[in-house]
Amino acid sequence: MWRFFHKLASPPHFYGLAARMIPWFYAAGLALVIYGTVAGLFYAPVDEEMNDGFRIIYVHVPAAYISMSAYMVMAIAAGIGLIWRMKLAHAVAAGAAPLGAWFTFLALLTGSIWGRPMWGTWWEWGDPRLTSELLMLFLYFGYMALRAAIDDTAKADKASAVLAMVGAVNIPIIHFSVEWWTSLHQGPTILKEGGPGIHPDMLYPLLGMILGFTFLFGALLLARVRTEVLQRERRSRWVRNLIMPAGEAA
Amino acid sequence: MEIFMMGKYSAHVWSSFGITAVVLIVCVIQARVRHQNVLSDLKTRIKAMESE
Repeated sequence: MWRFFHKLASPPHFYGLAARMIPWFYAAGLALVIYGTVAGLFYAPVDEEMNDGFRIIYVHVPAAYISMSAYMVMAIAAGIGLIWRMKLAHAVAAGAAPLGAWFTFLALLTGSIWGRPMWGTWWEWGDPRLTSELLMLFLYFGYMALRAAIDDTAKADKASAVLAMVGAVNIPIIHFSVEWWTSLHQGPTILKEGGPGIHPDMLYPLLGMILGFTFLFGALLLARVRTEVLQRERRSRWVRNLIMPAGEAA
Repeated sequence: MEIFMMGKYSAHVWSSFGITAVVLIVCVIQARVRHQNVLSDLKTRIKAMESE
């Protein structure tokens, strides 16, 4: 078991394995997203209150879910890197940040487009769900800016890991904000007492989209971590051999 | 064509899906371009080092 982890964490092994996994993750993600989009837009029944407007859920909820999952991946990987001095874990954290920022941006923007007709406003300052999600966007930006400001990779890893872990307190705040305070935002749809509160024909496309986004995020994360690993290992023998195969004259 | 109409929410629904598609595509392209940049940068650097 430990030998398996040790091998997995070895940079050249990870680099090759990730390259083989990425196409499968993209394929699974794309298939699920196509299913979820077609079924969600054209086959799911119309919502009684929101009419066709509810269909924004099929992009908004998966984006918001990934925005928070990416933060968890980043914070946990940063913690592992800090405690066990595992370089690959720091590479995972660094790779997750820009993706998390993109998905947070997407969740905020689609939420805003959804909020306009339903609540009559694009944005509400002071709303706990909206504000805590926006704070997460700034945490991602802060994390990336901090890394970019420190030239020494090992120092950047440590400093940014602390920021990532401290910022993780925001995650339960985002999640429970709609229960702890009054918010314009509606409560949970899937994870609530008594089971999901929507029709199966509405639910399955949503689950498909969430799973599809997870695969796409996985593929993107693997791709970004490969780039990180390559940069970090630029002085090693295996990278040299990878870039300049034997026989190719310098 | 009627199934593409989302009532009075057409613009909201389609713009949300459109923006999502664009962001996902940008993410894929960004990851690829970054990787290619690092590869070509390393190639130049290693070549320069070994020809010294």
